[in-house]
Amino acid sequence: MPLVLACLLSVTPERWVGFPPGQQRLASQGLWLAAALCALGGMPWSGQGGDIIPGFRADPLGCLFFFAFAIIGFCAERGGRFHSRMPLAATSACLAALSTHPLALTGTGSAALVLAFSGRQSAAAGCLRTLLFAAACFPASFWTAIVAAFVCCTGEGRRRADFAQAPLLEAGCGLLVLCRTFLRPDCVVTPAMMATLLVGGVLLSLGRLAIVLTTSRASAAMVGQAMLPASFAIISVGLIAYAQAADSALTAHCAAAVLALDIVIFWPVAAGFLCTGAWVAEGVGTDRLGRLGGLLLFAPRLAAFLAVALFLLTCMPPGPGFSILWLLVEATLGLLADGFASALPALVFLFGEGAIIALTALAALRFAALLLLGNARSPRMAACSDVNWKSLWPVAATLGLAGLANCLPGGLLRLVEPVLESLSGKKVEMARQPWFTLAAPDGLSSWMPVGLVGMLAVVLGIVWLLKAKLLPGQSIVASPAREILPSVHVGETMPWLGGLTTRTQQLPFGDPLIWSGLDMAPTAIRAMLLPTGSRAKIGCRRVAWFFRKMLKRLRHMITSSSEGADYGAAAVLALAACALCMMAFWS
Amino acid sequence: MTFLHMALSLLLTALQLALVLFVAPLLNGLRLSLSARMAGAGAQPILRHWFLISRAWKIAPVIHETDGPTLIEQFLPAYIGPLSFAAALCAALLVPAFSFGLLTDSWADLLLVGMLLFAARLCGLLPALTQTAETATSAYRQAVATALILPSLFLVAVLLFSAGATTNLAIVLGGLSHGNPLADGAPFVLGGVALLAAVDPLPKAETGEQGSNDALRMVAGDLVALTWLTLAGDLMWPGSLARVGESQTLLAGVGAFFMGVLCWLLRCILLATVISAGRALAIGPIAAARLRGAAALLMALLALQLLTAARLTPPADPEAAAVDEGGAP
Repeated sequence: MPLVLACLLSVTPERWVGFPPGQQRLASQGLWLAAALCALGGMPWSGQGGDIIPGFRADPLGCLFFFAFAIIGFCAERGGRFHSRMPLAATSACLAALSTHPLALTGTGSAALVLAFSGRQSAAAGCLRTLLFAAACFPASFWTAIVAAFVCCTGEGRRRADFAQAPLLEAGCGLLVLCRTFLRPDCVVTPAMMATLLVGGVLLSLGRLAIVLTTSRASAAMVGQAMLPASFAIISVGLIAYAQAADSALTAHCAAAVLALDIVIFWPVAAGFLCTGAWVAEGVGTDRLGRLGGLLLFAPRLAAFLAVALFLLTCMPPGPGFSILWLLVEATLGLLADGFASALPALVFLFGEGAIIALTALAALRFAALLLLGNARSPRMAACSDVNWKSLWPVAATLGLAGLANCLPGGLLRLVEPVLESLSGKKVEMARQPWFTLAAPDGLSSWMPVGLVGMLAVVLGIVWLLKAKLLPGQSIVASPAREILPSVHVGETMPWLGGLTTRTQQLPFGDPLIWSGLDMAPTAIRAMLLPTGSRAKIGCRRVAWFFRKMLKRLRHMITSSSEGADYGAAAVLALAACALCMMAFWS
Repeated sequence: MTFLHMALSLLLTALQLALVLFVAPLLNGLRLSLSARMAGAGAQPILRHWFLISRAWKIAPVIHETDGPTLIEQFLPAYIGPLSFAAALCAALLVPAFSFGLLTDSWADLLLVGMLLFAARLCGLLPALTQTAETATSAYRQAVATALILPSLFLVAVLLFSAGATTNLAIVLGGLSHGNPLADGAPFVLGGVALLAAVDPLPKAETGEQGSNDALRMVAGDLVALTWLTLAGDLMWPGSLARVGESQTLLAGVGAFFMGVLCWLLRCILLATVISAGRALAIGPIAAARLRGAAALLMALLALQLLTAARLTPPADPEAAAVDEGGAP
């Protein structure tokens, strides 16, 4: 019911409802949040009743994904923009989460993906995603679902602020169909599929982070950072399958816990981050990272929320990302084989996880240096205004919800126990986890986020007290007039100026300081990782020359076929339809 | 756990807190002095680092009413300094330095400690990132050098798990009792060497910072270095960790405590000397960072290979050997 009401409020113009200005948006957001919390709270009782309506049923997995999509709807609700289709797309995705029949899943999920198209330019990729999703909804090989999930997780960032949540919604649809197919009784998961899920998840993250570290577009950087929960979810599905094949019920349960916690505590952080990103995109009016900078000066409230969300996305303790990472590593260690050669794939996988975390931190640093720190690199950025509390409360609510849930990981796992049972396939008879602790499958390792939060709070409190009691207060000193040259100030004259007085700078932001640019991160990483000898340079130049040539040819081909480029979406549709027909014929 | 045990744990944790806060700047002063000697420059007194920190702590931060970047540069340390210090101190309290039985033993996970130290280090670099291109790029390069070690940390976690079926430091180190570092303890010595690569090199010339927040940031850097050294030393020589709680008498407990502290200080000084000796090699910062990353990876892999090889080797049968020797002509 809250979902229907929220959707109705989203699509109805304010003048029809008669609420005071701005109140309708708040009501709609409140209903979205209520729907998400109802789905989470009702999970222990899910799956007990029959169908809500034919083809739709509130089973545990459906409730889990309903929560994820409702959070997206909550963050996508930006009042006064009735042309935005994102709340409708989120509603459709929520219905897809509850669909148990393939036809219902195809209809609602495809509708959600189509509604998330932001424009004609990226329609071909969107159509491909939609068609692959539709193909994976019907009983077919698990490969189809894997390909659909990966393709859905490669959604690019939209420039329009209204569609900031679209890539996350697409990734959610892909994950939904992957999990639904995995839970089918006739689903056969081969070792090649498990390896694809694990290696593909790591490579997907690394590829996304490589884009974040090199891109000049703010939307691409934000989406790349926010896609970490989706990659972790894909990896966890692979780990569940691997643990089931190894007949390790405890590890399968642990891997299922990774997936459930990822959706409940890490997904909202990504949604909140994208929501702040949308406000930033709207405030600064450009998508170019090189024209931003100094957001802390111009919009401190927005910058603070963005910084918190960015920190939580980097998997640093005690954030929710670290809980997921810790459980993921423990589940992998639980599947470690004896002997160096047989354990080598697990070692490579763990090394890849470490590389992901390292690159995530570096990408976050780059993003912070270009957006939050320094000074404005364009006049438009200097005109950026702050966002009021009412507009930012979805971000505060999602981050607060994730933080609160992260402090109660054991309790949360009790709440989502039906999902864990359905995903791991067996009911694990193990001692119930304490409310505040996550326990590893080995039974010896544990992680208590609230303990670390307490330690940090005590240390910070003592430092604050010492500073307040022992040190004198801060003193504010007015800076002297700006120096033109040493010992020459504005308004003075010097013998060599011929009676003219020195003037202030004509540039809008004072001295032409050189700020760190877009190439800071890639250059530093390249210098550290790649060899720099003369032979290596020649080799790199040859490879770069080859790729440039290939790209030039490709561009030429695309330009020469520009007449058909507008019909790219239709061509993709036709091709995919042919592929579907052939698959249906052979099956 | 009885009340006595809890009180003892609390006392040991408080002692570790005090000792760590006292030793960390001293050890960094020693490293600075030794590094300068190795590089052929004039060595500064060991206590100078302590003096700089205490002087910076007493100075109240001054806020200049000036243009943007300087404003961010000034107010950022007010948040970054305490956060970095808190993360580093928590990590230092999680690692058993000289004795088992700390209050934080059940939380002492290797991944948690590594990530806390990583976070503290990155937080310390943030104020430099808000400055102009040259300083910011240099800071970012340091962040890349730190991040280069992180994947190897996951491999060291595998090493711990292979030894003790857990990543909890207190449990694994408590179970390790290898006597010979060249035989059964060799994998852990290599693991310790891999962790040594995470200790950041010190700047060639130290400049005094202004304000209490900068002092906190300096202490946080010292704590990060000391914790990595302690962790590496624990892995290399777990037998040096005292078991104060298991002592029969009070006198034995006090003796074990002092012996543990002495061993900790000795191994930290030794490892700091080894790291400072690296300054004698005339290589650039990028090559040094690359070397550290490669060394950490290779050492971790070699340690894992040695551990699994030792496990797969069939135990020698003394009776069969005796029969062979007796039957030989």
